[in-house]
Amino acid sequence: MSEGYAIQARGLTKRYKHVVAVNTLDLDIPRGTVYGFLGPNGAGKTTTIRMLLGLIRPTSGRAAVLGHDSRTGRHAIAPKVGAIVESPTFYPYLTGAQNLEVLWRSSNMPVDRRRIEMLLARVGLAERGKHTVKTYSLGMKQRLGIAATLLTDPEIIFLDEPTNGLDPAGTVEVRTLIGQLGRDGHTIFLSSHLLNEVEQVCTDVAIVQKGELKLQGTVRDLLAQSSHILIKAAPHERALSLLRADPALQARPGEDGTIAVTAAMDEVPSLISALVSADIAVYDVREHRSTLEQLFLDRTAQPHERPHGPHVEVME
Amino acid sequence: MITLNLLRAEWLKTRKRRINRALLAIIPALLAVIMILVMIKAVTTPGEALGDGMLRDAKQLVPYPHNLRMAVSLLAEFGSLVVIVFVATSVGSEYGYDTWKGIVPRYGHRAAFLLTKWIVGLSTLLLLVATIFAVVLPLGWVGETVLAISADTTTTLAPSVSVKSLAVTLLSFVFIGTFTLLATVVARSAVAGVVSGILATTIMLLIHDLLPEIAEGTPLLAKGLAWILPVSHFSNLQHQWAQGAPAGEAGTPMALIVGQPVPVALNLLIGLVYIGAMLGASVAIFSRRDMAGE
Repeated sequence: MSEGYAIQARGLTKRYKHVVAVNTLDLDIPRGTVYGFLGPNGAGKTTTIRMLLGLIRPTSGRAAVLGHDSRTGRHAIAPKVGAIVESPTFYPYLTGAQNLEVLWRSSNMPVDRRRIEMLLARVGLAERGKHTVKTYSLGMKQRLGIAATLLTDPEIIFLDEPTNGLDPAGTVEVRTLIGQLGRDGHTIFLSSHLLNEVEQVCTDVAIVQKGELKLQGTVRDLLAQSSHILIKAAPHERALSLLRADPALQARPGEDGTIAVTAAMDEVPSLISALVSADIAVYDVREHRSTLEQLFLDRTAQPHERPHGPHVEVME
Repeated sequence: MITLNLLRAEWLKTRKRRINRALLAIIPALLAVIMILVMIKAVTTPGEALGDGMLRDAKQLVPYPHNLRMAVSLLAEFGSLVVIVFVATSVGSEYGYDTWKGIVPRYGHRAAFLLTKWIVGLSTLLLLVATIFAVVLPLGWVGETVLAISADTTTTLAPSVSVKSLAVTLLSFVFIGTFTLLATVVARSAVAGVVSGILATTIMLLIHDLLPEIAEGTPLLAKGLAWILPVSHFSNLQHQWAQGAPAGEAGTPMALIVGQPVPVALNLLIGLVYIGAMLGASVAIFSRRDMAGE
């Protein structure tokens, strides 16, 4: 496995008796990416995170974090990783600041109390840092969890549904914080079911279902490949035939009498020109941008549930 | 592997948990109440009424070294329960709050977290003993010098006997605590740890007490049980080493059952082997088993 990757996995599998939670998962997560890990409930997202963090052992396959084997290289991995797994959990009888102290010391590093105060302020808990965690709301625990992941300034940060329980303003703050951390060079492994959130902050994405990887790539490439141009032209059949004649294009009937063409926007003028030259009237040309949500639904829906909309081309 | 930072983290958790403070306070508070009540009674009862035993009780409980003996006796009586609850809740709460998943990925040696708990537990036990001394010794001094309750001289009592007895009691507590640690790790539950600790202690003591009866019917079984039961070894240590009973066949209950003197060094070794084996098993299970959440 290469050290150029923050996380790599090959054939990672976790089986609980008759249930396969994660099935031969391959991951390639470059350093410095904000990586969205998407999947419906029970897809194996948290199991994958637990395996990468050494909390559970893979049944087969292997994973490397920062070039170190996730099972045998824990001593090298641990100081460089911060994580929230499933939901942040704390000692309810300790204050927020004391919880951070315990977690920091558990990393076997000397505690910098000024950094604890700074982190509490960064996640909006400056006023509540001296209160016991049992008085915290779910959103406050989530914020404290994010502060906990940043304690030792780790290279990789695992965030499992980090905006759960946050109000809209808190969600935006956390999203901004994740973007900032990504720009600062941290690798973020973001497990979330909020597709909009992932689309906004992630540079790369993977979709898993029933423990299997369905899709992996950069958000930009995936969305570009699944986006297309919708052209309304008459006569329709002639226009479709002409466009289909070009082997570089993928043209098919779209909705409402349109033709869906997989092409880049800079190819549009020559397309229109070709149609007009062939005496075909062009009434409307517009770009149809796919969203991560469409990608996700298309990739995770059962065959009989698959929508009859435009075919989505994705990069595997 | 175990570091000062891990110890400080564990100590912060230990001292901030209310149940730990309560557990640490129970026995010293009980001793203080007994001594103060006995002193008040002795001082407030008219002189002619003292002959019926109240002053004699005070003389046998309050002044040094009687106060030391009483403290060790009370600790031996209730200490095991305190140890069981302390260890089970300390380890079990990490499963209950699901906090292992937050701290374990932070340090490369998972076993260190459990060993740190064991060491902090041992330190807390020593703190309990220190607290008991800090309560009974000054109260004994007050009774003896301020209230003029002089020590009963009809019974001879060497302080070294109490100290040795305390050492054996602490060894048996370490055994019970380590067993509870193992049970809690296996069950991943504080309640299961408490129940297992109490059950195991009760059953072992029961079998130990029944050994003379068992020996009458099936001497071979009794002999085997006496060798296997850690309680028998601690009991022999208590009788032979702490209280100075003769090592011969008729000297201690264990010697009577196994039919030969049992060297205290062997008792100590077997006790330590039990503790080491259970600690090793706890660490092995904790290190290898999945932490798949609650």
